[in-house]
Amino acid sequence: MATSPYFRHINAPNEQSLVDALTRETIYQRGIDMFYLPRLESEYDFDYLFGEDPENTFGDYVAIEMWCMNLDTGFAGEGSIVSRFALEINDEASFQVSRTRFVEEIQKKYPNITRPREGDLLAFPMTKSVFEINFVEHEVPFYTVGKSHVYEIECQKFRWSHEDLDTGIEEVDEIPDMPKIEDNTEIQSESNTFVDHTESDPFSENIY
Amino acid sequence: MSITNFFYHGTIRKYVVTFGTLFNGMTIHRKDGKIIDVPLTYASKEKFYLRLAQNPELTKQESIDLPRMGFILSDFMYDAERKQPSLGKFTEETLDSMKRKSMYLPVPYDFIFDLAVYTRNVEDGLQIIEQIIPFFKPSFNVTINELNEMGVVRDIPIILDSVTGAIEDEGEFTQERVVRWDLQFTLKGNLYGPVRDQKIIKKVYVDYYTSKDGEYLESIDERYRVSIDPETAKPDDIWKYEEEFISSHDSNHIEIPPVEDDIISRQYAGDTLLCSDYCTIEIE
Repeated sequence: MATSPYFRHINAPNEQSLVDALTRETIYQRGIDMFYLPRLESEYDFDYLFGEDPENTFGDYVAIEMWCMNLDTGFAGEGSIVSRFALEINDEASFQVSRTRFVEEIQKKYPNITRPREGDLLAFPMTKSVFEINFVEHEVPFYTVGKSHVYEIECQKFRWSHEDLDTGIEEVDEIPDMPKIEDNTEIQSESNTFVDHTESDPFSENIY
Repeated sequence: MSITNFFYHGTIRKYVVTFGTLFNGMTIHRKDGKIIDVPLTYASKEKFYLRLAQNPELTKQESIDLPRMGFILSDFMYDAERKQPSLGKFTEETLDSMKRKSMYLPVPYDFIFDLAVYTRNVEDGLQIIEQIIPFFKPSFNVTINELNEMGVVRDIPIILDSVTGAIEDEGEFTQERVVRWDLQFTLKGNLYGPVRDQKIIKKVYVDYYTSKDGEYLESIDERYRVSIDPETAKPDDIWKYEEEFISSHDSNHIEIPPVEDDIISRQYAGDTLLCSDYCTIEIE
């Protein structure tokens, strides 16, 4: 049996438009300013085998307001941990962005970006942090009055792998210059006092 | 009672640094011509130091910078296959020509190192792995000045035991792909005991006594003395033996005095001397 033809709560364009306007207004009033940084393809071929493009760049941004869903509890995830590779900050965050605002701001500038994309970055100036989009949920909340009005974006702190950063946003572009921990130089200096190094035969192999 | 007085050669630290030296110059090359130095860290550090060094202003924008490598000395164990004689010793010259530094042979130990390679891209990881594996067949020797005080320079074999790919690429979208390789190595090391100064035998007296009714008389019958001339000579200097034979039976009937030099050890007939690892002398 079909639903009542007299109560069309899932097919009411006026109410859908009202909810969308309220959503936009709420985020506009109580949201936060974010920068959307699209991942730009490099001029080199995408690695079809491993599904990656190490030469990706980030060279532009679009400002857009979003609703931060971690306001009560702070960032989720493991937080700051010490791993085999020194300090790792595994903060996770969730944001909501109005679908219609996304079209107005981002799709207008990048026609091929029709929704927030996994792999793109979000710069969060208030916390001076950069997040990478891991997943975009498009069905939560579930079709209010018959239509979805927001994208819910699941992010994790960006793991930078020497992608070129020339976005014009200070917090992003200075990532390569931030303090990095490494022992390479100190190990070399200390080993020079007792390891038999020569330039042509660094490890006494008599091969090179 | 302690087993020994303080000594510390820093040998294990040398092994850690030596191991790190093998991997501290790794680079990966990108298609755009970028050459990336791969940071290497020893994994065990004070946590407060890591926090202060990497996030001093609490404004660290990114999670971690990749690629990177971390290593740690995870274990060490006695290697019975390389056991040497327990009482074996070796010596080294000192500035004092009358003494030599001496120590017992080292104890063989295997040191287990774990090296982890963490990259964002599989291609980056493969570049690093392929720069490591071909050198280990399965071992790779590094010559190090293992014990400077005793002039021990030794080839240290480092054996690649295993390579394990730990790529986490399944599961929820909220978890990023993790590309990690774990390599385990065994470094064939030695641990050295304390170094002691030992006097060098440069003069030997052999006194002969006469026995009567099964007991030795107190007076020395004959003496044979041999010494190094000059006494301060070192092994590489020019030196010669100086021998002397004195008998109480010659025409002067002299009385042979007791030895006044420092006696390092006095041996008697029937004693067995351990001269080296493979030689014993029994005094008749």
